[in-house]
Amino acid sequence: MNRFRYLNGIDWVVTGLDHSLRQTAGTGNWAQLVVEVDGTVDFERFCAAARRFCGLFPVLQGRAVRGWQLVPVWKMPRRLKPSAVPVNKHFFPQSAAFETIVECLGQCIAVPPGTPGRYLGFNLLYHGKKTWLAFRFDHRLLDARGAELFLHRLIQSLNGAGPDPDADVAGQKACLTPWAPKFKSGRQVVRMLHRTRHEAAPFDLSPRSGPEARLRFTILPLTPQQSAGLLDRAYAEAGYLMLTPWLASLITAALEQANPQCIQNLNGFMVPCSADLRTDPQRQMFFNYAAFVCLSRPAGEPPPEGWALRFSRQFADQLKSGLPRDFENAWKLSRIIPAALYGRLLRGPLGVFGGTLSLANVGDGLSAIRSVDGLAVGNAFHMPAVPPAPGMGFFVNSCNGCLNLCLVSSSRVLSGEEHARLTDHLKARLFNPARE
Amino acid sequence: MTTNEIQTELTRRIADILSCDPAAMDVNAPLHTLGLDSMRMVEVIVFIESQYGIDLMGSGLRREDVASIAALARTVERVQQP
Repeated sequence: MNRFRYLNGIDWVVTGLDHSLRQTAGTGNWAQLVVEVDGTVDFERFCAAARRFCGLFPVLQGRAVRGWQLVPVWKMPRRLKPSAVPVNKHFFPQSAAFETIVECLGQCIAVPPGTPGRYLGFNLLYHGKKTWLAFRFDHRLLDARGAELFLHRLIQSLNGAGPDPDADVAGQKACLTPWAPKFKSGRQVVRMLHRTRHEAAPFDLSPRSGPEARLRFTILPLTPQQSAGLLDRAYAEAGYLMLTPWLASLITAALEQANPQCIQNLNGFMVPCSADLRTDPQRQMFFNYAAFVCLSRPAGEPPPEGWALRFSRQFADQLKSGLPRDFENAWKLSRIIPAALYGRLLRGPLGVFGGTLSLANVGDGLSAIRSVDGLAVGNAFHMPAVPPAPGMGFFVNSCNGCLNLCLVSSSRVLSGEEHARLTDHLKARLFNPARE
Repeated sequence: MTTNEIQTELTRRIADILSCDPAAMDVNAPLHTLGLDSMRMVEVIVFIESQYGIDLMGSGLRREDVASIAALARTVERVQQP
């Protein structure tokens, strides 16, 4: 078995971002999946299953180093140690509000660097007759879809199915040569970003200085009826299946209306939307496979066809022109940059890769988790801890026909009052479009 | 190409994109119930435009034209005709 895996471009971007965040925000690049279980999950049984399952993967005990070709690699140990993945429990009375649970879930992600079990962690929140199962993961090892698959397999093993550690960990090639296509892809990406930047103007959001940043989360779980109504609206206004561009138009409109201090000097929005480049979703569990399309909305009057349709066209044009693959190729060149330098470059010359806010729609992969240890799953959603710069992000997923919208912002970008105002405008646009 | 041939080819391609068995796909089911999202829908459209040499996006598509694999096949045949 190979004891190392070449990191691809996006893996290295994530590693660089992680390094930068540890220095500037005192936290890594974490995210969390939360599963709402209708019943009380047996803590000891879950601990044993989680540690047994996590102990199957040498990749979880590895680290990023430079290989002999100077390409970064993920080095894995020759001998596996027993997994020490942390599992914690918290108790809430039946009367505790959903917002209280979300606040605790937010604290579960904010772990300091050097926490034991480094890359993964679990928290079980016992809330009356329910259990909230929170799975915290480090983005260096798992992206959102990879984490969904990992948690699904862990829960399958807890439910009694044989563990299936079949994951394509060592299959990545170094991809050192040829250089020319990577430079061409890089040129395409930079041209597109400059073109979009020209339309949407500057990214120089000025984060507040002051005390240590904290993240605020708002989770909006929709009912099946609300979700179906929303999808109908999205498909009618932006085109069939164009939920992501429609959400981008809704969110930017809500942000414009909320008018927080951080956007008052901007004359446009830039919205990077993540795109999944997996070719084998059942095997590509570890590491990162994301790229982006970038939607731009200059300030001023909306275009005649409306922003939803304009975003749909931008989205389709960029996908058709192969922008996500260009990102993937171009990022391979960035592997030469030391991780310690990444943060400085992102705040400087690579600032062009920034956005006003980030948007990700990961679909309904969590619907695959139907039960946990025989107990039915009510809902499941994502909570990304660190939205990419400048610190405001929206994450959408679907579970059992219900959409979940997660809004996360850093206290350095939105004050508590601004976060609440944005949430109100967002809710109004989601649920009472006629009033907006 | 006949509608049936186009439908078979589209089913195979969409099954590839979704990593599932073409035989298990319902050609009359709405595409979102098969697991297609906006990104993969654009992939399907790119495939159709390059494979059949048509401008599907510019042909004034309505939701019912792309609602299922069978509907997509009929639309491709219609747009292909001069």
